[in-house]
Amino acid sequence: MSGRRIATVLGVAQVPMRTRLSQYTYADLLGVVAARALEDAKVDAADVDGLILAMAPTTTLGIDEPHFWATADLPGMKGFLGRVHTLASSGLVAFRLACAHVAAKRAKRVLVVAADLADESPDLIAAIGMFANPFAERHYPQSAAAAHAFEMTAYMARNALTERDMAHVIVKNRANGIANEYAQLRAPVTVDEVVDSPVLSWPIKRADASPRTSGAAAVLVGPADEKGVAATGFGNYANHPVSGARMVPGLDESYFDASDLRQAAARAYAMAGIERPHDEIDLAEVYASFGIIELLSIEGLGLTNGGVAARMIRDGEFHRDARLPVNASGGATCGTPISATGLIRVIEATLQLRGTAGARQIKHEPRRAAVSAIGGLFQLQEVGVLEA
Amino acid sequence: MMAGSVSIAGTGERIGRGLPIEAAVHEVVRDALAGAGLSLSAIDMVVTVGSDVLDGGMVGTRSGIAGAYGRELLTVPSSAGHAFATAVSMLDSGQAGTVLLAGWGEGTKFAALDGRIIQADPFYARPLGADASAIAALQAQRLLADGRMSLERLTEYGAAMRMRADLADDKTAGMQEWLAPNWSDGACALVLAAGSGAVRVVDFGTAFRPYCPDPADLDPAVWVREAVERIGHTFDEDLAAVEAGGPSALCEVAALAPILDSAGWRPLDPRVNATGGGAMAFFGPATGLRHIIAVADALADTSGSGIAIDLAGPIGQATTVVALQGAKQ
Repeated sequence: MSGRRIATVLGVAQVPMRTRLSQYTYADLLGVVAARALEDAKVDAADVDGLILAMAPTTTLGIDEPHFWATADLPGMKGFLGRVHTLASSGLVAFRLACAHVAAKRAKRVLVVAADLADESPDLIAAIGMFANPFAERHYPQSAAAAHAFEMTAYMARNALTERDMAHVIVKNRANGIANEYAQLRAPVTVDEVVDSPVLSWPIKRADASPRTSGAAAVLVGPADEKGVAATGFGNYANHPVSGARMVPGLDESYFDASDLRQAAARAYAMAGIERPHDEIDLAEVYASFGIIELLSIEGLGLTNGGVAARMIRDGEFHRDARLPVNASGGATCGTPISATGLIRVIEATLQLRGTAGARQIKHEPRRAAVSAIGGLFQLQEVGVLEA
Repeated sequence: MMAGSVSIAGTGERIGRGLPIEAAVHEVVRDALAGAGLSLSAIDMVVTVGSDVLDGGMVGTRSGIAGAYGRELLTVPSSAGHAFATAVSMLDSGQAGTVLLAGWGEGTKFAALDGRIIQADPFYARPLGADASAIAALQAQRLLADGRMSLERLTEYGAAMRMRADLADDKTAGMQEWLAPNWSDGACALVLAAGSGAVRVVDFGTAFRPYCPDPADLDPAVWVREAVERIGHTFDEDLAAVEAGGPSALCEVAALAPILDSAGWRPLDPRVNATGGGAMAFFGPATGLRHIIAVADALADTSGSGIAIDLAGPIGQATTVVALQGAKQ
């Protein structure tokens, strides 16, 4: 059974992800992906009447309110509909908002653009740390690696898993990334190499983590009755910004068991008419900046039961040639520009559903995809469903 | 024109200097829910608007106080108009049945610090470009030079808005009243719901210019006309209230021109900017929510229509026009 078409993905574009994209300014990047998305859609710029910018956090860019200076002459600029900021889920949330404006007939074609130049700051972690209070220049005391180390430690302890068991998700993704011409990391790694890479915050090693990435993406959204891959469901779930509030045994353990993502997925699946996600979804593109997040996402999306994803990946499930591939693109651990990463999940799922993903194309003609993204430290979960 | 199927069910606002912002957010959400006769559990989605910089934080900082826990959350920091549009389209597209829209800003932080340093370049802590007053002055000079605005009208309007504003005792260091943004703290909340209610959302329209527009394209009246064209409505029947909120009174009086000319009203008509306008109590991109609320309050228990114009950005170039109508038969 198919869900109700909310809106159609008319065109997509991204640029190869790199640590440094020194040939572009931020505005250049937006312009390049915007032009390519319209070219992909075969739509003239004059026929785009809405624009949304996904940009978060502005701190990494170094200049606030980029929509005022980086959107000049982008298609749909005069009908700008806002900047979305939900951290790493911004791209997916912006896509959802574009679908809503089109479905509500407020605009006919809305372009969503996002870019990041992660090398603009000499110290990205310090820049992100200044989220908390730029007036006092006080750094947020918890890095992403340290925060997700809690999750990984708990996951390993609860499910009797070793560091080697946990490494297989990275090995899978890096192998997938080889076939993705847009991936930043395109070299394979072994379990030994993952386990032996430098510890960032035990048990998270450098190879468990996404690289620091510059990149950009754009998606053009049009009416539901146009031909193309359609969005058929969205769901979101917000929780407390302080991760400790979600580590309370017996009260809220969502930081460890992905139950927030499960709630978001339930909302999206209800909208899309999905009752048995494992049977009714053909592929998933999940935002996972660390291997542990992908394992929790697979389980939170209902693609398997809790606590078993690591072993299933070790045994060959969720690989590109499996029945239900997850991150056939290599995912965020092969490159993740923060503002654009949610859009890239939409783009990769769209390419797979179109059957135009090139060397990374899934062979079994997928019809339905789940995409997900996370804002903050597992604080905000966003799930979308796309159908061919 | 879209047939509006969204209504404003409840509102809340707090404006002041030195406002304890977390408490204010909590209170306005509570007021909006009480006005709607709903509990937080009846809310499907929370939409927030607040400047990243003014907030000094990020998404989660105050979203929980705004009621986001366990619900769907979207954050649209670019303007109150954009956030309002988000809420309306989410309802109209069937993705939510009830939306709590909350916005806040600690504008007094900007009054205490050089806004250019905060705004521009945290890596180098180097001011970038002109500050808000200088940009407004450039805009004013252009409109005056083009003959689109008279100095008398600006001065008269600025003085009148200052008298109306709650913060009339605040001095602006000798700046022209029509030029200076008056930094304030504020929090606002609205409950919007699908279906009929006391005040119906007729439609919204947006217009936008980047920073900085072409010198010949600095007139907010042009942007308002563009936004109104997207709505496709003339607003000349039963107009009962008009509000405009922008970074300067100059910006507001210029933006009001198309609406007031169409209605045959003077800018100092008591039905125009009863709040004193946005420039008299400016708390960043969420400011426009206050003016949507003011129009909604004026239309409650009436059958009249009203317009709220949100002018975000240094010269008001992120323009949203919101058309509302009282539902009384």
